[in-house]
Amino acid sequence: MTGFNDYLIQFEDVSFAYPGGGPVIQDFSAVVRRGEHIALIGPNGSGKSTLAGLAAGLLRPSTGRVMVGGMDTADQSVTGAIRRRVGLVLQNPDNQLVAARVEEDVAFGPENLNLPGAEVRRRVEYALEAVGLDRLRDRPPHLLSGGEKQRLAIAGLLALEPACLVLDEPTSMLDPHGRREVLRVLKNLAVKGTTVLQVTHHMEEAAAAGRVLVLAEGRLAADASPQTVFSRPELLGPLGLALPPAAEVAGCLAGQGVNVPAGIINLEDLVRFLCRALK
Amino acid sequence: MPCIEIENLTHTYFPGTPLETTALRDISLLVDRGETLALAGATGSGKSTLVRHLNGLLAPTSGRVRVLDGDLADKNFRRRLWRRVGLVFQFPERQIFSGMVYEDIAFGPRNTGLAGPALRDRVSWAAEAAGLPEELLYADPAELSGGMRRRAAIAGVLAMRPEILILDEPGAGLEPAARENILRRIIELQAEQGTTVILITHHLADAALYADRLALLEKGRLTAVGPVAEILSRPDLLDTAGLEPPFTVELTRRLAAAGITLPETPLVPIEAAKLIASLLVPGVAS
Repeated sequence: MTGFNDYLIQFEDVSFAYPGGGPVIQDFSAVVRRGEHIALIGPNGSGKSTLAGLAAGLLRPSTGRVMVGGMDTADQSVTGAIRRRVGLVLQNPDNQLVAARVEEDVAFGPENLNLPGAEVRRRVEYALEAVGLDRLRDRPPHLLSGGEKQRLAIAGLLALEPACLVLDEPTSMLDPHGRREVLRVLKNLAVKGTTVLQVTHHMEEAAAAGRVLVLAEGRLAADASPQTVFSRPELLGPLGLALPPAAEVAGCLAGQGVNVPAGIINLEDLVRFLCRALK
Repeated sequence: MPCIEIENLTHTYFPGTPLETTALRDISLLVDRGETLALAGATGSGKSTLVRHLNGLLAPTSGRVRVLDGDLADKNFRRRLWRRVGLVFQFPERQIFSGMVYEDIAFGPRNTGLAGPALRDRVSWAAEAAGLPEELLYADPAELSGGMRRRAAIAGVLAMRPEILILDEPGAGLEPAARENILRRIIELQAEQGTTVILITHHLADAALYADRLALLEKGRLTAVGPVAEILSRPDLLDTAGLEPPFTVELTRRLAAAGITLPETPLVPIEAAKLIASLLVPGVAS
């Protein structure tokens, strides 16, 4: 059973408009439970980045409430506390790196919290290790690859020991290798209990999440397991969203008259099914 | 007939300084007029350096590059090449500078002396070619969705009617349908106009759908070039280049490891399904 305390982020009838603009988010209600790995998908302009900003307390709703760990993001007296609970990772890591050496960049956050030196060191070690950058600690960040930079941006936030990471298309500027590195880090974090809310255009990434939220014109169009969401092409198609390739192959197989079980969304599922069927 | 001839091209940045870096080593490559060549390689493999030679932004350190029958060693030729070779950088919408889509698209052709109705026709044509609805021409680019802004930026390059069009990840950061739309428009345009297209992409499934040939770069060297299907069915080549095979190629590899051999390597999901169905359901044509 999940109780109130399991809710890390709650969106309650949230609407949002930028000054002078029309509504970007409308009547949005959803919860993020502690330890969940959630993917947020939707067409360009559907309000995904805005929602990421609302979840991180960077933006405040026009109407409705966003609660983070029981604190209202509209309450300015808790802004600092919310920032430490929720870390926001942006698309372009270059916009998020500040120091001349990897290690110093990670230490920047905890040092600003005025933590004792030993605690700063402990957190830097933990964060560098979590993203696999411990051996590059002396490098200047601008000489890192894209994937390494994005992992460094994540480490900088982990050093603040947030309960939740919100990531706005963290892999869209990376090459396949960098993308894999970042996804591996996110997966590990989720396994270890960090809550992850990830905006993505890659349906394979969404298929690997525990739950998928679909946003369409600022409204919640679906909130379900990836198996459920990706078995609804009639919902995704009109939004310009695709199926993960495994689901697409499974769908084509069904079209060829093959009896395919529902809910195949990744390579492992598909290979397992085909091995059974073909042997 | 080749419109790009690259012979033993080497490019070194900052030669003779402590920052000296050789970004391209001994590249030789011919690109035919009207073909679509996909260019893939990990970050830092030299893709951007290579294509910057093709519109005259860079000159070879050694070796020879001929583009559209002119030699890049000729400075005057090189300086004029940008009018004939369109380069769409990654995230081109960041280069939009005008407050009205129309003005942004008209900027290039106006600089070549086009004016009046001819200019208006050219802008309309470019917008249509990029799949940008006419009514958005008078909008503020900042008000467009990401996909439409990308199209507006691409229209700005198309408006120059380039003979060679180079696109660096034109679909990055767009929703799947928008990405497919943009790529399909470009290939249609190529068929209509005979434009030569060079498509830089990490997305090898896109290369499979849209390109004739695929070239792989790795640490400044050209490691493979050939028909897309041929290169994609060599996972070893993709692995060393740090690239991810398309899903269907990976699926074929995993099935083979489990003792199930498909008669050929499918490049798109429907092909994969047909091949698998032919093994599963007797009588289904492959």
